Amino acid sequence: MKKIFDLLCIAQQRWEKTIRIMKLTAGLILFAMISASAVNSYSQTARINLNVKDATIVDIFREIERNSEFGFFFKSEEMNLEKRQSVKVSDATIDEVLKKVLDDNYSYRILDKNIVVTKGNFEVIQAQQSKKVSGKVTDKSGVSLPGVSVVVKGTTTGIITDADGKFSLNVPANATTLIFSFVGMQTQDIAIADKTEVNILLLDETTAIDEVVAIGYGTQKKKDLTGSVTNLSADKLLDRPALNVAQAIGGKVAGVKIIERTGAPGGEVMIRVRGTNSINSANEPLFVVDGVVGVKNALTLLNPNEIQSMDVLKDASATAIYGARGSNGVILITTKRGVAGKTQVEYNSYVTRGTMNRKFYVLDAEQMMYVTKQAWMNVNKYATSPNWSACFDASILPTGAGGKTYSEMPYLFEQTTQGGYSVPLMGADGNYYKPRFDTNWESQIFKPSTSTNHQVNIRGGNDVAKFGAFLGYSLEDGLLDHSNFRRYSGKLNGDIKVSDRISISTNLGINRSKEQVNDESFFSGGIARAAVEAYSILPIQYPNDPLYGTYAGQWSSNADFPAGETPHNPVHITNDVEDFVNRTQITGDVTFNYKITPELSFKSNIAVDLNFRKRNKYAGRAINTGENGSVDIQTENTTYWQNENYFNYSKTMGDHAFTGMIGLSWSRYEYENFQGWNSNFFDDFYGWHNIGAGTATRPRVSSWDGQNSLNSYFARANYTYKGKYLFTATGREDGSSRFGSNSKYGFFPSGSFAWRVSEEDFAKKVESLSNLKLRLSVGQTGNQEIGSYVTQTFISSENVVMGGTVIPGLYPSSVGNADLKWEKTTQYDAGVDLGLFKDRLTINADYYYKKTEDMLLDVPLPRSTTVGQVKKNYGTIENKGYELTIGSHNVKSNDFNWFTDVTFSANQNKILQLGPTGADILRNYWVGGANTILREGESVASFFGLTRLGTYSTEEASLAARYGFVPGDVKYLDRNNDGAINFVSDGSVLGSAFPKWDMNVGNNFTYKNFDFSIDLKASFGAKKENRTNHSSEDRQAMANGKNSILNAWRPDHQNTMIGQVRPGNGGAYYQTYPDTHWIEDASYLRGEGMTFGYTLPKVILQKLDVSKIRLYATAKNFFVITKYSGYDPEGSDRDNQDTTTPGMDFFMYPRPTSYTIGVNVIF
Amino acid sequence: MKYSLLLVLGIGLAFGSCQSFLEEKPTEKLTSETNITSAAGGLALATGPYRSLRLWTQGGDAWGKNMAASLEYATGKAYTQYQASILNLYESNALSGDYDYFINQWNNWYQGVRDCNLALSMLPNVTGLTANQKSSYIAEVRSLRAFYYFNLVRYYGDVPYNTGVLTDIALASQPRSSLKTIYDKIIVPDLEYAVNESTLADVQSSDGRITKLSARTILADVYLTMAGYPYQEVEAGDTTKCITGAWTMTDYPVKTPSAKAFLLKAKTQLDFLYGKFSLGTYDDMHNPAMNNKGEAIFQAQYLAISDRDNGIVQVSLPLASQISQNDENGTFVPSLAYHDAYSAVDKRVQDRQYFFYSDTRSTKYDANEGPAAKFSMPFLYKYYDKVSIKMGGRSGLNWPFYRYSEVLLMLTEVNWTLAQNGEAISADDLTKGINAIRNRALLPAYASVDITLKSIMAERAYELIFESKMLWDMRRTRKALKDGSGQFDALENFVGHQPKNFNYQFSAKHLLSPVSATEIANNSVCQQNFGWAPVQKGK
Repeated sequence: MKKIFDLLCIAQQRWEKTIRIMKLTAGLILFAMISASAVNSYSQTARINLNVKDATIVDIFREIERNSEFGFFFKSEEMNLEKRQSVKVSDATIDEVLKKVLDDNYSYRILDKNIVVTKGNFEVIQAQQSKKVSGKVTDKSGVSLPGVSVVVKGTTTGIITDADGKFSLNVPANATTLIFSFVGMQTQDIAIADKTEVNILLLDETTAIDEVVAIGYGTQKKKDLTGSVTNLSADKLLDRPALNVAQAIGGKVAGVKIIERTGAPGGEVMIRVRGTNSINSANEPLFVVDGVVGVKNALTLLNPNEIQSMDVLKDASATAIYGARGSNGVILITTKRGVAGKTQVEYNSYVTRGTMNRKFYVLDAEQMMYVTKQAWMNVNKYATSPNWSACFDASILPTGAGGKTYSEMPYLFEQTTQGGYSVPLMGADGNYYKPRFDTNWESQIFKPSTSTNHQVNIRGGNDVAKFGAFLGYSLEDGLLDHSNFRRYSGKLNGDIKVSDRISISTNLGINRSKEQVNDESFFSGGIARAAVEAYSILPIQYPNDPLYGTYAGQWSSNADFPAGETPHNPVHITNDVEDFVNRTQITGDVTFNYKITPELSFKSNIAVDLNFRKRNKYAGRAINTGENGSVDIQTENTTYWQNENYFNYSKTMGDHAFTGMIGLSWSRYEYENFQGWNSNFFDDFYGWHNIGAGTATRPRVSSWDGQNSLNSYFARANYTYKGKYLFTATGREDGSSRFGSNSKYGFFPSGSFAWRVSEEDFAKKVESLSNLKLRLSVGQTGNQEIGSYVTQTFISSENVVMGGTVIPGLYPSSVGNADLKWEKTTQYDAGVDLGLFKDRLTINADYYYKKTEDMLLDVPLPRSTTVGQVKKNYGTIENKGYELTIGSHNVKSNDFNWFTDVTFSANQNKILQLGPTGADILRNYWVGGANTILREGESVASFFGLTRLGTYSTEEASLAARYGFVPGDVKYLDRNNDGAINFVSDGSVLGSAFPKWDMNVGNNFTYKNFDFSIDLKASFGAKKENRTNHSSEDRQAMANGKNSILNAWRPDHQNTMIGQVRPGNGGAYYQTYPDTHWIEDASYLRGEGMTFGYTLPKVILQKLDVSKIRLYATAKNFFVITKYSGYDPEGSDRDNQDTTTPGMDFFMYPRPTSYTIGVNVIF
Repeated sequence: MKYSLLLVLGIGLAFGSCQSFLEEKPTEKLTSETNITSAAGGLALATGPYRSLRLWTQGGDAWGKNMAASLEYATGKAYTQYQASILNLYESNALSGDYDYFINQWNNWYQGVRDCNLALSMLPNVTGLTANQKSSYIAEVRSLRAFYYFNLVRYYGDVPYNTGVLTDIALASQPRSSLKTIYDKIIVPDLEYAVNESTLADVQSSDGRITKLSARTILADVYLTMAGYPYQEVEAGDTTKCITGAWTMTDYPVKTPSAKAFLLKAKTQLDFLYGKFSLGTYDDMHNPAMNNKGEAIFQAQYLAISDRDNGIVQVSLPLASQISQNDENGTFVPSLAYHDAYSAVDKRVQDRQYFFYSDTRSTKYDANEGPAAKFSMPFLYKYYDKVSIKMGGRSGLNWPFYRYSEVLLMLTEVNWTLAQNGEAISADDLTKGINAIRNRALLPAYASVDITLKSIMAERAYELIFESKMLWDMRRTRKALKDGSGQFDALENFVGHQPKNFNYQFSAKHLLSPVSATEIANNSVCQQNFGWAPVQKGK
């Protein structure tokens, strides 16, 4: 490979510096710095101090680079490394220095901050030039690129583009090609032929192996990585509008599974890196934001606009440096920082319209009356007791004594003729009636939403101090009325060079959010359930007309049609409940960097993460009649601080390169909670604002607090031989307060090896091969995410009622375990990184095997002697899988480019060993029994239940009778054939809530100023439990239901899964169990995102004096193809946020399809 | 270099030794290390064991479920309107230890046992208590432990023996001990301590705490039960019958010296209790103002606030009848046949005594409180807490474990049984108890010749309906009342008896309830009762 300039070190390091320099700033200092920014030509003003001994010329260049902003470009083979010299100058210009250190064999040219050094005489070379070529270099969004190296191929002649991205170069007459190169961009060869003007577009080199990625406690060139790390840059993260980090990374990293658990604004997100390792401990990866370890709510609250890049550490080699917190993967987030030079102001804004894309099909008024009437006609068939007669029949059926009939409910029914309504509804007066109203409740509570987002980023500074200021506002409006999420975020950071050796970085971020919650009710299933189960014959509010008597102007309720349960009117709830969750997060850090020697540096940081959460909830008097209005206020304060101190060492000797890191840290997490509850308000006026106005007999207050601490020692060593054979070893010793007195400390080692095959001579012969690396790693990480104090034997206090008052009573509440220690995950990873055709095609593939042992399991114990469980190290889980990432630049030209990115992940999870007896652990008890099961040999996310065979036909009457049933009843598989349907012994595993594989395919097209992208997401093999089948299908005529009830068994329609309709409220039995009919295939193909963008051309921008304006339109979640019948194939309802089993759906909050228009402006 | 090393050293010193940095000091809960020495701490220790009593009326894992209902449904004399309560599975013999009716009862009662064990291990060291206080607290706690075990053995038969505080989880799995051992080593000594040795006072409890009078009542019931089944059959030799189901004895009363000795001891307590309380009106049963008053002896204590309220009120109302501000479940309902077995002139079946037959609609549904739809059958009025039902809010009505009526009925039964065992009993002693009950029900008094096992058991059925008594009566006597009109048609053998609503006859299996499935799963040495699932698979 012919390379004219070795773009050695500094350009590279400068890039690193800009984005990675450790941070720090207090707001006031920042503004003082702005004025300090210099504009004079740097080479004239810069003063250099140099003091080297026995140094080669390259060493001297590096030293100058280290102490200034100059960058050197030279051909390394031209440099005389034999010669060593000692130089001492102070306060010299660069010219003075270079004249002193370069002998006559060399000449140099200074282009602002870039210095090109060449053997021989520049002037001589230039004398041969015969032709002038000029032009401009821009990036794909049209922004001009300064500092791009433009070199005549085959020569050392070159130049750097100026601040406007322009260049003008004399080239030899025989020159045919110019090479354009820039760090972070793909190098381009451009034929010049007879052209005198060459305008070119450089493209991001996103898969380039020279890219720098963050690893724990440092950075590394991607080519030197031995572990499995995926890097996402800001432009990748924000290629479509994203309100939070979860939305930003969804589908973009192989091996990372993001499940947006509800469609509610600011909703819950589940994230898994390479599967689920743990049953009773946390499974969320560790978030490290700018070195702050374990930042809370990073996935949902952090503003993605503040992020410069994100690195996902997946294998043990990468995560083991985080020891006891590394088992679930680590996500490193580096936020944007100040830049030297012209102050850059950026403004981004968008507006989003969200709409429903799926709906429930419920019984309309006519269907509801049909089902109700049919059901009551079956009451005697299914109300088994011999002493039972149909109750309330009169209120529903046309004849009977007492109670209300249609004629007594003029507010709901109006008179019609016989046959005037498809369902004959005869009142006690002998007349026929029909419903007055037909309401679709779903469309009354779910309405299109409008969300907005504004973001301002200001970045600037000089070589001494840089600052960044970031302000953001987001309003995410939910589809459900009165549900929304507002976030105000502000961040200031600064990087200050105190001396040549010492620098300080600071960060201060404030994040304030206010969430209005409305996904709830006073029965399980929340408001979305009320939308399905509110009778369709009800109005929202009765018209204010005397015709409606006492009902006039009132909210309706299922109680108005007294045939079933009485859930509230969902619109009424929406209006009478106020529920706000306010969160404030303050994150800050100060990092001190000290360059002890050129090889050795020291870094120390102090960081805090403070979180305040307060929930204010008031349920009005009319809604909460039992309590006449109730207030619930909950507060939570958490404080996290850390101090980390570590040394980095780096040394190259010939073919041997060595880097090392060693450090220690302390951290502590403290939490304080307080809750207050009161009820019995004489008026709704006070809401939650004055909890003392309530007059409950016994208002409730409670509080709890605690803390946990971590003390760690960590080290890493990398060794590279000839740039081809790479070795990494890490180790971390963690001590945690959460563990038993007998095992406070744990050690977590890892080792890895990589072979850069493409650097071997034989591989270099393969023209098309630009990169080939094989990686192997093994290591152990831990999981400590259990509550504080679980090792202790507690005596708790409960307020016991004695004689009309309460007094405290003590009782044993836990079983201690002083031997409790870490959950340990051993992970093996084998990977290959392949780059072809100058990395136009890149493929990363990994296979991993993870085994988690000594799980922090809630081991069930007999209740006869214990509280029923103890946290104990027991059991084993394995996860294994494949990951594949493909990046391809399919079409490459100046005007038109087409990129394709594919990520594919497949993970398989299996419980190898469970509790001491190996007994199943049944969990998630709900109607009918346990909905999930932990069983050896099965996935941790396994659903459990009966097998629904259908319904008993009339021919099967005797078979039905064996089970005490009759034709028309639901028929279940009697697995053990014992003549009884027993949920546990006849139940079996019904599938896993996690998919067999996930795939994301993104295509991105650019044509001149236009760009277009489309992302498709596919997921295969997951099951989801549609619990709505319980209350809206199995259970009939107790409320309104899904219109699938129309498919119920009838004598003339016996081949169905749904039992004959019957009124549960009439004493009729019905069967409802978690079963195969509730479990649905949740595979899907989703239109995740589609964006069309346009960047305004330069001519217009120049008139506006703006660097860049891009306008775009995006559609998200624009289609979903799935067999799942609920709102979305992924996610759960609010009450079912189980940590191992996603996809339990009892009326989840629907996820919107959204349409966005937005603008990015860079001034 | 120098500076950085100093820095690290400095930081290291600032935080002191790592061990103390990682020490755990819980601030919100006491631990087993805590020393409780004050008198108030002693009271808290003696109070914790009461907390499980309120669970008697609490629900299971679905709407409308109720633990007390399971104790009635098993007799075949209950009905449920809301079938999703799973109670109807009793009717087809389809239950197993997997259901919460057996899991929760096991857990609740053993929770009570563990709470007592903790208190008993710590109370002796509470230096702030006087000797008298200590003695009475220990007596309270031991009486409660006896009560929890008494329920466990009556429901499940043999159960694990646990009187300590577990410190080594390796010892958590314990096999079931013979019910005779549980009676002999725990229940009787605990209660006899309270009655014979402690400083408890012989007064009516005013706040739900155990007094000597309540301990005497429980002890009398324990003796009476030990004079019957299954204790007497186990005492006859074979201690494996819970597992084998080889129960054969059916005669009641049991005429053994042991039975007679227990009956004599019961008589001593009952004679002492006689006249210590007075009967009130049936309204007292559902009047929270009469909590711990009148004929109340030992009650589960409730307050009209959530989580501390009585769950029975809501479940005993007709399903979705709209008579209450709160939910109405219809899952705690005596069967129609049970109701029909009352004499028509019995005061207890007159409207709004023990039963009610109609009601007004709640203002929640009808501002004018018009009449509710006609009830399809009689519903229990015994727990009709009017304030809670009509005004909304929770119910603070107490639940009766023992009341004076039962003492009176036990007195008659013990005397009659002793007479069958050859003891000389006066006519007055035979009839005075039962006639006090009949008198209040406006029924004619019995002469001594009218006193038979059937008339005693029938009177218990009428008076103590749905007070969690009939299941125990059936099991200790192995007799069941056959429904009839205006009377019970017969008192027949339990085995072979088929309740009207059931599609099977009771067999030896139904003399016990299935052991909790979670206990079977997590205690590998715990065997299941005969005929029930799930059985121990063990590892």
